[in-house]
Amino acid sequence: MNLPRYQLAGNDKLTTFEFVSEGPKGRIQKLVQFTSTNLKDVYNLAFGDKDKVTGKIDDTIISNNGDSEKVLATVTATIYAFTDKYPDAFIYATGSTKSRTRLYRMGITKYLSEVENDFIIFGETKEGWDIFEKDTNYFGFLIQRKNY
Amino acid sequence: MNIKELNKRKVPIVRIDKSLNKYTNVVLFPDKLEKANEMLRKVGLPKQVLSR
Repeated sequence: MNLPRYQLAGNDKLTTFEFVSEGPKGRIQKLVQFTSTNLKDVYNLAFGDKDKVTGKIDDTIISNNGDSEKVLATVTATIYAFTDKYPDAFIYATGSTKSRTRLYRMGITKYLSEVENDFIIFGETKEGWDIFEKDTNYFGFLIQRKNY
Repeated sequence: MNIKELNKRKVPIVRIDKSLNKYTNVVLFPDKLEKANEMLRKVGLPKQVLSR
């Protein structure tokens, strides 16, 4: 995606990434982590703010730093980096609240034509999984890289 | 390479930061992981997934 995004740092295994959000609330450290689940090749994607003082990570905080699009574009970039290293990975993501899940859905919808060239995206419904469609509410999302 | 050119790259350039290795075996978002495992237990993977 040709969108502004923050520079990324990562651990050796490219399972944890860090970047710094910059806005009216100042500089906020963000951490993105891909964690193995109980199912082989399925990873959970989560991200949140790192408290400067305590070092604790909070994925429920609303930063309001005026850069949510840039943050989402940066998180999307981590998915490219991660699936480049782990092409067989499935990535599951859901918001910490319904409204945040909705925000992710809106982000996917906005750039669907671009990201669907590279990923298959499924939406989680009460009945199971459907191929992601615009204007549909989902509980979560599952992403698989194409072209490998 | 300037910022615009960097943003055009789909796969980003990632600076390896050894200090982040302390998180390699640490689950930073345990609640989310629990939700994911619960979903996998109940729903599983989509039938349409690509087999490599």
